[in-house]
Amino acid sequence: MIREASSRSALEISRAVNEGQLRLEDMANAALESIDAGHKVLNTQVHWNRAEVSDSLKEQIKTLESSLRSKKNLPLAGVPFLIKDNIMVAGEIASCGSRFLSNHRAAYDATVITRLKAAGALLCGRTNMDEFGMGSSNENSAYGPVRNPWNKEYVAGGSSGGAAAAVSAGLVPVALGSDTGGSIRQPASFCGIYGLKPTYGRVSRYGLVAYGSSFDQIGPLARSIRDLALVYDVIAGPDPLDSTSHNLSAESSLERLSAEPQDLKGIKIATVREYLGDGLNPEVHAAFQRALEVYKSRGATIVDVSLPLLKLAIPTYYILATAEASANLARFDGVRYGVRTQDPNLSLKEMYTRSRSEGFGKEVKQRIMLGTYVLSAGYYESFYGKAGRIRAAIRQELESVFKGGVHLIASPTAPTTAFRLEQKTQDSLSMYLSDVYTIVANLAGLPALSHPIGCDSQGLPIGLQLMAPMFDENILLRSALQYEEQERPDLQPRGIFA
Amino acid sequence: MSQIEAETVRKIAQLAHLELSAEELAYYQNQLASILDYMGQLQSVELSLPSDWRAELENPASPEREDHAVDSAVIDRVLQTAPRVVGTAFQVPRIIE
Amino acid sequence: MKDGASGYKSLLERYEPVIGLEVHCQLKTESKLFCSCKTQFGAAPNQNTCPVCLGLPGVLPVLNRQAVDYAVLMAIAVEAKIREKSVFARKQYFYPDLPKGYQITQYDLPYCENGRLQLDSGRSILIERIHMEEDAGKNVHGDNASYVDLNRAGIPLLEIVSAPTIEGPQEAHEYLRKLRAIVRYLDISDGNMEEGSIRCDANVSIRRRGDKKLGTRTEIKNLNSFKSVERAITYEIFRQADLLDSGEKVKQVTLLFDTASGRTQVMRSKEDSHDYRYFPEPDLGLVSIDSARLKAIKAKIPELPEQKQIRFQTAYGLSEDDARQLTDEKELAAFFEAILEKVDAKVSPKIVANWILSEYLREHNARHWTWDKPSIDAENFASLLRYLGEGTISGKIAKGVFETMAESGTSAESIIKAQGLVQISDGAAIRTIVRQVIDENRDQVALYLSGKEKVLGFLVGQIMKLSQGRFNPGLANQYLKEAIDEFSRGA
Repeated sequence: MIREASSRSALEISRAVNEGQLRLEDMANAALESIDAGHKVLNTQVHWNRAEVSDSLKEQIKTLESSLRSKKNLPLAGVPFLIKDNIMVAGEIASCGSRFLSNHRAAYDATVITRLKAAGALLCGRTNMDEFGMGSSNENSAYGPVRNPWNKEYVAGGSSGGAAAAVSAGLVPVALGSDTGGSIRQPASFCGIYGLKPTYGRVSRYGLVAYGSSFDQIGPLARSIRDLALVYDVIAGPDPLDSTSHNLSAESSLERLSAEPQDLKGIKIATVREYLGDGLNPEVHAAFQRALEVYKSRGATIVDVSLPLLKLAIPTYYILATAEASANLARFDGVRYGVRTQDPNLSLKEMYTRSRSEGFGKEVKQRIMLGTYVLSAGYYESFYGKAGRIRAAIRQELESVFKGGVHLIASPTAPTTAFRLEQKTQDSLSMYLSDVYTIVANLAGLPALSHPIGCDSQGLPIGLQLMAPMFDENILLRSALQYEEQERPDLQPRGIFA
Repeated sequence: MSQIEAETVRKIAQLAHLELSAEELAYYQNQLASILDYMGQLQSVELSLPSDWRAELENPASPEREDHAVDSAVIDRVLQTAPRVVGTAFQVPRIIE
Repeated sequence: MKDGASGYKSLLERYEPVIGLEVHCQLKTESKLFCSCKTQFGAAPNQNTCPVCLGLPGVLPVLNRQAVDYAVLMAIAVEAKIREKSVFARKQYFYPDLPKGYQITQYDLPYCENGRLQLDSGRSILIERIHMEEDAGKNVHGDNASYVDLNRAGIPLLEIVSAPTIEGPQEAHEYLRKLRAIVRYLDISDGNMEEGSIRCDANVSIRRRGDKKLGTRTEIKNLNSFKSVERAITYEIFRQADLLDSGEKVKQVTLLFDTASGRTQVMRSKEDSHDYRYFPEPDLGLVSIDSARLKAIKAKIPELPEQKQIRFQTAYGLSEDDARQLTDEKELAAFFEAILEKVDAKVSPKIVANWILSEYLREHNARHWTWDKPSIDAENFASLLRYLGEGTISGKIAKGVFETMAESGTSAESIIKAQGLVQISDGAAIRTIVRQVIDENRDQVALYLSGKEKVLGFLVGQIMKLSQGRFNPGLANQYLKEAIDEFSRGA
């Protein structure tokens, strides 16, 4: 059965490969097989070309075998990986889920890719996403929406929807996503898996196509905390090519997981009063409360805090992120790469305008215009300037909570479970509101993690988010591991291939 | 609900080098109006920050690299997939000032 | 210009020109401002590029330390205030030579403000601000298409903005020349206008004498030589005065100067002016110039033109004019001092200065010598002046020898020896010729004796002519006088 090989954990696979008990070809073939099958029903992949990936895997295996001979114990040896379509892998199409970049082949490797390769990962293709990361349902992809493995009539979440669905469906054990306002955590929650957004500056952004530069972070999606930590350890750390990457060398969080105490005594977890009111689905609320009881049973203390500024998080985020996006997407002009409009008799300006209008989707145009508006003469101070100040104030508000002895802030990852395809596509604002819990971590640069805590009455997964102080990913992983080991949540969606 | 003029939407699209059909214009006018209305709640917030305070001044210092030149062979790959190339230059419609 | 100098003078009686200059100066770092590409001039299109300066998706900028250090040197040299934490910003506009669709520059928090540059008149021009930014690439225009070359994209620039306190085209020229001298002294830029390492935009307005309010200004873009700066500003002042004289208004426009016609042409009007949508660059942190860094850079400041000029006046007794001319170019000043070191007390600094400023500079300019490759080095030049100082050759001979040196590149010594130019101070030889000249010019001698002293010069000339210029002219003079005395007593 194809799922046998690739549904194993990354840790198991790596151990087996390093010990010579698993042949790389077998692993690669199993992964190809399952991705091919899964993609057909879930649309997890973009530019999926089995033959091309197969050829690439042969090359990768050759390189990997020679480094396995000389260097033992590669942490990701033979682990099949899927990469979100906005991260550069030299020679592969990197389209960011956009028509504009449908023919764009990356000319270089992102820093995270260099690290994954060096750690022995097998790159098996690119996952579907909301165009340029702009969306919360993966319905803004030029290559069609991703379907939720738990119910194919429902969205997988976004923007890393393809990555979340692929990991959830067991096509691969782990994948890389990116998170600007919740794009790893929210789809992880919708698909019933684990997702980590590291601290801003912890993982290099070099080679990640920018959406909101001061918010974007690359992070892993996985089916267990240990796999999450395994991948996180490989990709984290300073990078001279990213001026915003932090100087701290990351210690091995995986090793620490075993060394840490096996309970949560002395850990104080805060819930936010303002979060648990309007808009929060009662079933999600109930599941969240149950999960808190689990944390209590492991020794944690639960406290209640008020963070009045958090109600401003969504407007603040959408002003700043779209402002940055409007500049970040200005390079897509059809001069050096991407799809230029076909009409040869256009003026320069017409060529620009036509190429961009043909290449970008509806939501991307909207966010570019929003960002352009808030930066334009006469509006800057009242929008961008104000939002920048509120962002800093939110940051301070959170800092003071942590300074007051709180170790973690807990909330549902999203106010609802996955919604039906096309349910929200006509109303941008209601879509934006679904990011209410995740956005804060991006505004403040904090690390945050989503883990599954069960399903609602329709059988759709519910996620819990933990948020920690800057550079304290360890406490996120350690705490979530406690939950995982006690509850062993069922992560297996059924009937995908029915 | 606050209003945004069609003319403003058109101007913004022009600044962003996007062209909108009449239908799109109406759609975005409507969407932007409701989003900007929602964002308007920031205006009423008074923060206890000094008026000359700038968020970015809280950022850490940018790292600086040594001034060493390194060759990058990437241009050939880029030219291979560029929309239009003449020699090793990118071709665009003639620029008229 | 239609009215020439007198027209300009009468214009000044009615109007007061107000000029501000924006100067872009390329820093001569080895690599670009935000990536490690070469900055070399003259490579084939797009060869000095990488993912970062091509603006490929996913790239990020990393600041070049040397560029910041150079920028700080400039700020110190113009005695400006340096901001300890400054901010890069994105300036957004679409243009094919701007690969990211925005330029990384500094906006409202530049690293440097309030500098000054002193003119020869003693007046100081305020430098409002200096900021760092990346250069754009180049668009080359063909008949049916344009072509984009991004080799220049990302080269570090300083934008140096003067206050609108420059009073005329000549002052603008002088200000620019002095800026250029400073960057060359600091060795932070080639300062070459023709190659575009210095580019200049001028803001020009005029107002009626006595008016407090500034007139409407126009901006002239891309002035690429010192001469163009002066011509374009002059033209623009006349154009604006004509408009005001005929009761019209000056429109706020951006102009291009056409060097062929000597006229300015409208490039765009205020209505199409850009909305650049500046905001802080999120991919970079703050530019940090703390006191330790400042101190370390300050220690590297060389002697600047103004200081050197004063030293030349006091230490060498040169006139203000000579000292200024010699210190205009760092290499010229160095050449002067190198020669001075190699000559003895018989050759005064004044003589060295005269020789350099007249003979040497004439040949240097006529023969398009550069300072990297001078045809006459300091040692060779000094040896010529030593021959002159010792009286081995006369001044006139020395000039001839210098020309031969310039032409052939050979040494003073070999020319003097090969052509037998050594000055003759042998009394007997000189006396023989003196007697011959007296014999052949009895009438003139008589005239001299009758009181026409000027005739003596003629007679000396005859002697020198017969000696082919090789007699020591002092001795020739002395012996002639003695011989005439003798002659008059004998007669």
